[in-house]
Amino acid sequence: MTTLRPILMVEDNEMDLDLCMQAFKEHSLVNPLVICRDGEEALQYIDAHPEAADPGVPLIVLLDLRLPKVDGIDVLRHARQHAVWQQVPFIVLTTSRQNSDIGAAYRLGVNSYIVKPVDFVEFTEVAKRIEMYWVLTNVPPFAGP
Amino acid sequence: MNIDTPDQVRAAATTADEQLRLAALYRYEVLDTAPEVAFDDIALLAAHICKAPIALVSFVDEHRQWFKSRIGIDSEQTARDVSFCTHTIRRPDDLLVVPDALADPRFSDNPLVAAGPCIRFYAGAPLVAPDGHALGALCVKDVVPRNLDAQQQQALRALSRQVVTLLELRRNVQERKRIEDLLRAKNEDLKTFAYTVSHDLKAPLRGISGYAQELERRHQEGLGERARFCVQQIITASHNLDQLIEDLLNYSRFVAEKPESNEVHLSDLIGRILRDRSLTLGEQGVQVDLQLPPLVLQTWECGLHQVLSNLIDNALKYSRHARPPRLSIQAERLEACCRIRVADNGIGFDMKYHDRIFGLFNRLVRTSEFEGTGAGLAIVAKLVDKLGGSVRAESSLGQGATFLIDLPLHAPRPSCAL
Repeated sequence: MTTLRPILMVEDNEMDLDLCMQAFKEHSLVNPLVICRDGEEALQYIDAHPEAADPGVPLIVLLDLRLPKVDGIDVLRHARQHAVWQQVPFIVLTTSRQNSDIGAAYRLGVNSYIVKPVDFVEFTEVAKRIEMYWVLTNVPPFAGP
Repeated sequence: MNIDTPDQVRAAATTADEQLRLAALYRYEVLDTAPEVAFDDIALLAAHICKAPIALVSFVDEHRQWFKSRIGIDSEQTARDVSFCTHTIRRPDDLLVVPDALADPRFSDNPLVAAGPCIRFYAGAPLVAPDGHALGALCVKDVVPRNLDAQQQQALRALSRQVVTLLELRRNVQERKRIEDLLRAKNEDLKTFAYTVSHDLKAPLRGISGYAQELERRHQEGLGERARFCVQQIITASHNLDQLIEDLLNYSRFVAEKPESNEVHLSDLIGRILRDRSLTLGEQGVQVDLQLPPLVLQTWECGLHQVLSNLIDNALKYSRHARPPRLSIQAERLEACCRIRVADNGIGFDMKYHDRIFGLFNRLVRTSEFEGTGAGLAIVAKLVDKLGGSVRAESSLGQGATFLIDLPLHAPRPSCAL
């Protein structure tokens, strides 16, 4: 039985993290969640799992933009320069609706850009859709034989 | 004739007056700047009218005189203690004319006279700033002893006044550029500040809303009736706060936005706004009456779009309970402006509150009756101001309301719209 690839979450806000995990729990997400608390941790994680066969390479990355130490955009840029990580689907999950952020993310090849709703019920809807689409429907890279 | 010894000149240089004079000179930010045609032309005219091979626009600094414009010499400056102009500025009311420097005890042993360029003739008109300080001189020089006739003297005085006028104009332009740059920077600051604040305010709000909603959805059994009510109130309040933050962000964005100038076909613009609301218009059975001549305005399209959208949305909201709701939009071209009227048959308002309704977050109704935070009309007022127009309302309670916008037919100059 193949082990499930993890979902990597890069998020610094404790409450957002907790509520996000609650939302995924509501929809019975089985993939393990790996958390990086700031941009620097995210860079270290990327560098620590450079091979496609590494089970630590995630199915998708949920990336907040406003992070301590290293910005989300810089994490995305670092990933897109990496032979393996440039293929991993990145989903920006952030509060910013600013065109400059949206443009910067898409120019760096982000796969999806989602604005976090304040309302928790709406957020669980978003989490469900992410799961439905990116975990259950989308075919990830390195899918294996 | 008063003879100033070199010692007297040097002594004068250290008085309080001299400090003030230097301060006045430095305010013009002209020392050590690049040559400018406007100043060069004046030196040219001085040389030509006085038939002199050398003409200078000279500014007397603490230890040197520096030439903004020079004709007939190469150096950009000379030491102050060998300069002629330093004498000229001591008498701001008068020309200094030295017909033969060799015969004048003040200058006979001056190295520029006894040797080097061998200056024999000097005539200088002081450059006197509006505050009375002599900044330097417009002067002409020659290598032979001679003089200026009355007309040449008059011309030299007139040209010296022109130099001062130039200095003043130049300073005003620089000041204005500085203010414009400052305003532009402040606008950018405001935009960034507003976005940052709204993000930082929303983070804990997500926490409040999220945990309250979790209580409501998954921990109902543990809560009594009153407790469940409290949780509901927390959720409602956090939604309101979210809307307030959004509206505040919108408002500040419009405050900081710089208007553009577009050609706007009014009926097209209004048509688009109504089409965007066709669902609401249909659901509420709104009767729409349009009287729009084919007016074309030169104005800020984005701003006008927002203004009319807000007025139309208000009209629809407050006439929701009317049977049937009626929305009327008229435009007419008046002598100096275009007048647009947006009228509804809704609840109306008491005219004594006319000015209040345009205040940010000011409302006349309760949120439970009609949703909204009271930002719509504040934004309208701000934008109409940027469009160079004016807005007012006419209404009575229960009799609907009419909002009148007067817009100039041509956009105002960019400078007043910062």
